[in-house]
Amino acid sequence: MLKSIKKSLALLLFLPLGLFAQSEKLTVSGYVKDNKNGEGLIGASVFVKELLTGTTTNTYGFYSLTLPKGNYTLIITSVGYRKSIRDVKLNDKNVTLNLEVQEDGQELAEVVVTGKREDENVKAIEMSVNKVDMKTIKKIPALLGEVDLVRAIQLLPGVSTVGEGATGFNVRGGAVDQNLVLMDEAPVYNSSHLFGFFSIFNPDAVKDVKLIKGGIPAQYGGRASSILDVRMKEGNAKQLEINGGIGLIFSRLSIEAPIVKDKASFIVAARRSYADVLAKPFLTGNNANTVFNFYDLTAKINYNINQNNTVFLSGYFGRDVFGNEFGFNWGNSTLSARWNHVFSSKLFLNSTAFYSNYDYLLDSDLNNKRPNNQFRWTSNIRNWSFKPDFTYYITPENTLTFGGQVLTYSFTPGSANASSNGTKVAFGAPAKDAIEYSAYVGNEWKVTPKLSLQYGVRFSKYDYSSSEDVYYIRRFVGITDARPSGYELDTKPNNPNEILQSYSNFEPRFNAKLETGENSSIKASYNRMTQYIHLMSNTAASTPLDVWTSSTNNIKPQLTDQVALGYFKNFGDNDYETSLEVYYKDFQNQIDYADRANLFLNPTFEKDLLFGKGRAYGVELYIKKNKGKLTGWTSYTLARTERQIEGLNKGEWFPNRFDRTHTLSVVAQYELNKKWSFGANFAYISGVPYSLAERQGTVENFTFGITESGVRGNVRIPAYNRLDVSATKKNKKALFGKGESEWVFSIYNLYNRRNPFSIYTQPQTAEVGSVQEAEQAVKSEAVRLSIIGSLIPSVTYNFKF
Amino acid sequence: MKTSFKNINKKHILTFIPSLILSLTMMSCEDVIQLDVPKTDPYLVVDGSITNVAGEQVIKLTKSQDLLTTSNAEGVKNATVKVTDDLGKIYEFKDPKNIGKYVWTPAKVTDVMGVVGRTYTLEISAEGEKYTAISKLNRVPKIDSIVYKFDDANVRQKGTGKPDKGYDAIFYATDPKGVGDCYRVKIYKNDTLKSSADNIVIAYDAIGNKSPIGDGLTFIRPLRRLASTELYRENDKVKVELLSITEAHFDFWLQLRQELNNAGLFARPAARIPSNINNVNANSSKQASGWFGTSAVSMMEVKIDKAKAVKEFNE
Repeated sequence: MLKSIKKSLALLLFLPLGLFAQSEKLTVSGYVKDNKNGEGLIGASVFVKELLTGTTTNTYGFYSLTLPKGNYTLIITSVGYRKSIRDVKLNDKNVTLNLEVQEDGQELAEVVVTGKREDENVKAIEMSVNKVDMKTIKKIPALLGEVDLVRAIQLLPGVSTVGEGATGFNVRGGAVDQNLVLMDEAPVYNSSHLFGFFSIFNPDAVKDVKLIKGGIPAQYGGRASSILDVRMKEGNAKQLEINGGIGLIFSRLSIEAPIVKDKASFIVAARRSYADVLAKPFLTGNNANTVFNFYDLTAKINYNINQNNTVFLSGYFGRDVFGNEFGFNWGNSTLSARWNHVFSSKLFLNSTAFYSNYDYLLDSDLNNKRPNNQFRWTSNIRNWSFKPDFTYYITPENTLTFGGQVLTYSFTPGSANASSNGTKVAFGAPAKDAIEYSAYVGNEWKVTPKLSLQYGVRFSKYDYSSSEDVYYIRRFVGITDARPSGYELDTKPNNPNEILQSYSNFEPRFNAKLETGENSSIKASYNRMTQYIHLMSNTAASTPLDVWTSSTNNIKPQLTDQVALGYFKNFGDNDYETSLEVYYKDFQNQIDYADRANLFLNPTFEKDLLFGKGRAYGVELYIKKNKGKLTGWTSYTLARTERQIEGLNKGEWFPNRFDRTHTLSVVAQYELNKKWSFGANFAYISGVPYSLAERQGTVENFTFGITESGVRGNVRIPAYNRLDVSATKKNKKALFGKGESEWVFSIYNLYNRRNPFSIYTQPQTAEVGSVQEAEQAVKSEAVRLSIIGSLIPSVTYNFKF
Repeated sequence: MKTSFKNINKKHILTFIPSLILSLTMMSCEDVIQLDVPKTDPYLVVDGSITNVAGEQVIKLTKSQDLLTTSNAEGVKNATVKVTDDLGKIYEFKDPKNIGKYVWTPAKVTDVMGVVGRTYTLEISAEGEKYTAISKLNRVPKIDSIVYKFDDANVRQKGTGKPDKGYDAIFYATDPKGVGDCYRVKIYKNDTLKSSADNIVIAYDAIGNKSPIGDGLTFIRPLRRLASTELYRENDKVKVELLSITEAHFDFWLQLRQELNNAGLFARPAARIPSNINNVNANSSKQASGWFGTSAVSMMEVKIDKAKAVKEFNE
């Protein structure tokens, strides 16, 4: 079976190669850039008028078109830019043509000549992909006025979260750890500040955001559900630019400037929360040493050596620090170096080498005052990787991508140093290492002007080794109260220098697009994804202290298969984009947790894990208005995500804790005039399931719930709804009569609704002054928690020089 | 509406986040609500421990209730309750007041029932069902000292009706070598047991969670400090009781505490609180909950005396 699949794949891959050998052809290639700041444009369309064919620029702004000899007119269009028309003569040699295009202008109120953008929604082969440009994200009313990329994508179809303030996001029924969040190609392991209220991406440093929920191309791998590809700005290559802002949470400042005009530039962007600075005078006595802040620094430099070589170096460093004498901190750091090389005008290479680290520290003695009585615990996950990605622009009809990756992991699940009354002890959950190798090849083939196919396969291999001198094998012995998972571990000797477990997987990917009319198309896709690492989290929202763990001999890699079908149609000169997609996803090797699972500093945590499978399916409707004074979108998702885990819920299917039946988002932005613009968004989201005890019992004076083992999701939290609004006033000048500035006023949760995050029982709070009767137990009561229980107004001031 | 920071404090290690940042940024709130709860058949709930302290030993039997019931749990009367040790000696428990409170009364007030190292089996016959439980009585170290100093209340010691300034007391005890000794710490202020959910103090060796790292240490500082969930005034009596418990009993308290505080952003799915009470008939609809425990006890009491207060803790 597998063999025949491989065979037919190989056939598909090389089938179009036969079509390559045709009459003599020449290539026009180059970069498309913004004429104001020199940033490469991602996904700009380059269309050949005479041949009615074309291509789009890649993530670095590069395009390549191989055409029969002749004279052509190229039409370059991109959202938010004026149409640009260039003539090109392909007579005797390949042509390099770099293009600079002009922004559409801020004067939206005026009628400007906007190029009729190529209808990407309908014509592009990709489906289940959402691109939101930062300009739009910046106009969405934000919690406390902080522009937030992760919160913005939660307004897209198929994206949800376990609740307000929870870290991360869920895509088409996938868990939080199933999203590959890439920052300039380096993975980020925790995308949140302050437990999930704010995302780690500085809006002033982000250039482009793309969320891929399905039909994932072969070049991406490593996570089961989605790719969030975040690209940082390169830095203004034309002139010095300073952006900044003062909000209620963060102060921001970014500086970008050319080093060598049009050749090299940099950007440095920093943010820091400053509640602690404001609060400092009020902190006295025991609280004087309180620290609480979060910050991030993004920096990038690029050098365009010549037409064929560009190098980029980018880094991110962010951290959250909280504590008094007891405290903790966590953060991501990434560093990526990239080299873009154009081998010939048809072959483009991007090589990336990156480093990524996520770590946290838990410390009982932040100020190092009590060396004899301390507890310090650190945990981290670290990557080094090299990955070359090639794009071969064979003909306008065939674009071949291939490449590979070596990705090393080192996991330190927990390393602790403790001292008590002068006695010191050290403890380390043994370090684990792994290497993930992958290689892929994919081709996009425009079979006819109406039919396109994209197909490919990714192969991945994962080698796991443990530094521990033993390893464990799970053995089922039966569920009891002392052993809620039912498993014990048998210990076997391990050679730390050898590979303990190896996995390999083929991941086929397929996309098809068929245009069904001038402005409509049908698309279908299938993808298989493999995920070798897992976030151990048994809380409602995942915490910064959750541990990333490797696949081992006991923990198998997660596998998902997804099929999706969609209908795409644009209306009225592409003013309106609409899409309707259905998907079905099958998850294998899903991890769950037995009652009382002990996931911290526990070398034998595998005993507490439970495994099973999952399924998710849904319908997503998306309507977007692109032009005019009023823009925005509406998305509606009807979905279900469930799992079936051995040992939980009597072995029956139960809804995932982030299962939401209906998700409706309406995002609207209105430009009144040059000075004023307004934004609003509305969300209606069904409640997530939770578990509640059936009975209560009393021991001493504690009233507690009596629950049967492994019950999951027997009740649902009521639905959530919320309206946010904002108003932006643009000023002609910022400070000192220069630049430009704006005030952003916003109200989050306008109608002051206490939306439930969760419902639970807890001991009744005794009334102040009342004395509990000696023999009387404290009763329990049901409580509804709203993470944000009131309307939240905010003001932000942004400036730009 | 109570503004609360429970959204963050699920994991008790996270409770120390200064409330300030949250009050500046977060506006979470909790509302007490009405819930429809199902009608249930009652389970037998056992609440009893035997110790090596001389005198009466008590085992209470009650019926479970529907969730959120506010009346007192009803006692289970007319049950036969007996405990047998591993030498075959039988101890009969009687319910003289007929309220479900079963008492073993020694012949002499100085007689001791529990002995370290011995295993005890509880047998209950109630309402046509038979239940059993087994527990071993483990060793306990002595409490070395209780030390106190005059100080301002910290974030955790503040609260309505609690002194802002007063005596902060800590206790010292050292876990014996050997992984897996489990303890419960009970604190009494002026002979009254501190008994709110945040007074459930348990230790695995010398630390708060199940990890071999704490073996053989002096109880770590956060555990020592839990002797003062509020500050004491002069002449207050502070008693610390250290009770050995089995590891399974540790799991019981751990999960009970977890369920009582299971709130907020980092709540876990409601999980079963383990019980060592088993109905002999596993298929009966009348199952059991609660715990039959066995403890060796060491204790120390001091009366707060200004003259004996230390200037600084030696840490």
